[in-house]
Amino acid sequence: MGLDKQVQDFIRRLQDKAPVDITGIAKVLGLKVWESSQLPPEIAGKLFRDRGSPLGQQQYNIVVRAQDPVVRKRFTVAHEIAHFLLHSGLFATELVDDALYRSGLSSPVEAQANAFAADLLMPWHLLMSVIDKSPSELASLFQVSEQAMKIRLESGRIPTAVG
Amino acid sequence: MPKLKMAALWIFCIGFPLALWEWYRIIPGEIANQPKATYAELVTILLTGLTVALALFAAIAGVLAIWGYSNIKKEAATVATGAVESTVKTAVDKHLNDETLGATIRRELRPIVLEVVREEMPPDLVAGLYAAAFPQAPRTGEAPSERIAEELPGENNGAR
Repeated sequence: MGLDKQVQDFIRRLQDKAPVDITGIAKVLGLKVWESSQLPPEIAGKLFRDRGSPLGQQQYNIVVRAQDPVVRKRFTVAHEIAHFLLHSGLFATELVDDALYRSGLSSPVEAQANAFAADLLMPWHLLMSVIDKSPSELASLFQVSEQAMKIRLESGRIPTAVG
Repeated sequence: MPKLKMAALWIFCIGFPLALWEWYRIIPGEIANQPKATYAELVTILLTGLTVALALFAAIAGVLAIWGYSNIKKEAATVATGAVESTVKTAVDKHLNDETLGATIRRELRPIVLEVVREEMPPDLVAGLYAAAFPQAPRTGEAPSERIAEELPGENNGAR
């Protein structure tokens, strides 16, 4: 479930400034991102493949819960991008992630998606240039939660496909 | 009770040879025909009994001394252990409750713990922490937050 070097480089080029344009990355990868007010609180988001037109290609879509804070919506999008890039062979047409980002796939798979999402939103090559700022300032700059930024800073580098 | 025992021992040590000598003196028959013991012999017997009694007493005193030494040693160890435990507990309680020291320990330990976490914590576990690091909206009175994407088409009629 590794990521091709070309894709890694491609994503890295898209991570050119903080905050990372996560919906832009999704769009470039061919994913449509939507918000839904009807997702229950137990669901963080989902990734699904639409039926497509009789002549057209099927399209992958990401849906996030509209009521969630922006930082959470961004993480959800990043998490679903990880599933799209790394785990598309592990589900048929739809993958629904609950509030703790569990989708029925194995824990290591979900952990990989979480780590990948963290790498997407908080890439080290951007972090290192502003590492002297406080976690709070960094969280604000990268549009992630302060707690997530602290985990990122304190847990060190987790080797994944990007970041 | 020990006094009674000692008295009994003395009585036995003196009385037994005396009784033996008296019995030997008064019994009839061949034994009676043996020459009568003289007072010098009686004194010798008594002194021998006394010697035996003193030897027994010395042996008992020796045993008691060894037993007493071992007990004193044990008691001294118990008292010393109790005193040390009490002193150490007091010192530990006093210093651990000291906020300055507590803060110092926390400050010193934090980088060490973080280093251990960084080195030892499985990446899967760290990644799992991210899932809980993004707070949800409160469940009551929820309203859509700032948009990052368009509303899903057909949302209101239930179609996707």
